[in-house]
Amino acid sequence: MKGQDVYITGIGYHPFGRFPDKSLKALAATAALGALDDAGLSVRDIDAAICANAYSGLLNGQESIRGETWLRGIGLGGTPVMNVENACASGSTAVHLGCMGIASGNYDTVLVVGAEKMFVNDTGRTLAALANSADTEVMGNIGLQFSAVDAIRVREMMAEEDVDGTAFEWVTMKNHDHAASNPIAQYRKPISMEQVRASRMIADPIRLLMCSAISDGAAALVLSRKPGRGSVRVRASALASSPWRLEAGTPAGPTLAADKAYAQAGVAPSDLDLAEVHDAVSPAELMHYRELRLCGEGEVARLVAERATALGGRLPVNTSGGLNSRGHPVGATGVAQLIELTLQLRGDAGVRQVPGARLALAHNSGGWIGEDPAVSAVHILESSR
Amino acid sequence: MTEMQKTNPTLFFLEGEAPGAPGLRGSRCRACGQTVLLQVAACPKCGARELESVCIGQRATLGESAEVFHSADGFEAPYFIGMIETEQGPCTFAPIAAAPGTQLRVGLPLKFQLLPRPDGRVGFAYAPAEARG
Repeated sequence: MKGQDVYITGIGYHPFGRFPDKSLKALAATAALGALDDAGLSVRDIDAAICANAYSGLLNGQESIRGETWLRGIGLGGTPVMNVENACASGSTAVHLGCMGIASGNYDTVLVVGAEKMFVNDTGRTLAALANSADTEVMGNIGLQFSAVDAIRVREMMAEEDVDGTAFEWVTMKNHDHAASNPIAQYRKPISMEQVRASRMIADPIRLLMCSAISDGAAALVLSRKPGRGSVRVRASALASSPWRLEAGTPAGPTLAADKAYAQAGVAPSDLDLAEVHDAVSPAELMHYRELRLCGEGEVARLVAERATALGGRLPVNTSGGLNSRGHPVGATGVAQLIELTLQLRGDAGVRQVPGARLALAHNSGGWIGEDPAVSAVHILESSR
Repeated sequence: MTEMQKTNPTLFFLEGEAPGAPGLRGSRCRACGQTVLLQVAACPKCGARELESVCIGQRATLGESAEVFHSADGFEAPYFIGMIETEQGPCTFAPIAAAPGTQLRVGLPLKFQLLPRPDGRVGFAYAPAEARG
């Protein structure tokens, strides 16, 4: 990444789950204060705040100045607040902008807060809000749900890789196992492959327990130009919008973002110690192994057979439980991924700790346009402990 | 004639709204010939601003598809959604008109058809086409 170094010096969160008695403001405030406390800072030490949310306008009646309403309650005033909406990648986009603010030399310390409140006692309204993360001119009114988008993408992968329902059941079980010890996670109860197989079909081959669920939650980071505890440095912060696929062989959006990130960091996929990837449905994790170049084409089944991406494997993926089990309160997701990586790189991940973790990647995608996610974001973090 | 209200007014043409309609709305670049879905202001291939509105996707080929088991947008589950490639090139998601449980195969020839919707509007779907002679 060009410019000044950027470090993650504070992390905070409100657990993910269903919290009918808590407002979006309350969720965001808990995460923001947690991150400031972790960094040993007060709100007066912050040069700017960037807030991520996708559906507050549709679900919570607060379309504009979302972040200002969240942070007023923690005593922030006078400091610039910017609001980011980029569908499911809102959180990582906010981190990206925070990194750019520090790398450019304009800010020394930035607070990033991602929050979402999706339980509104009307599941249909929440699903309709999620459907807004596509080009509604094209994908509205045609019966398209994101589970179907993912099902079709997974089928495209199945045509090229030797994976089937058994692999999907395994990756779902794996991520539930990982989430069991994550205090932020929505689902902390291990499940068996048989339970996954027995859950109802949503969009063939995606079953209910493979889907990330509606969630309330918040996550926050403090970004700084000076190292803090654990010296977790942002080595790369890259975004890509959906490419025009006018020629055969055009890379997928996540691949474009990943390639930019590897180039920024000057590292190869083989250098990574762990990764958090956007498993909005758990089988998509397998697709992202290829797209992020964690394996080559035709090698997904081998990673699964070797259990390489489970804790204890050679490249653990979604040690937090991923979107599938940690939960997916949309605006918070990209930030929560970086919280997990920061814990791992600090050596503070407890029973989920990847021994000796030094270099880690996060991939967060959002929305849909054309043949790819509308936005793909990839961050690479490094510990210089 | 009663004017039909479309579910996606900017996505498809009714018969008589454009040469070759009914079908999807596309744009064709007068400079390089690139065709894309929807009306766009500049060509994504060459950047030219002169594009003509064209009707595309009267015929298409099915890519991967999924049977969906949760109703949405007035589509009663189970129903099919697929990725289709129009004969002019652009790809998009579309409802596939097929009976529940049908084994749809990649490469299946499809044709555009209008689809009356429960709310009185008219939408569209792609249905398996007869083999062309």
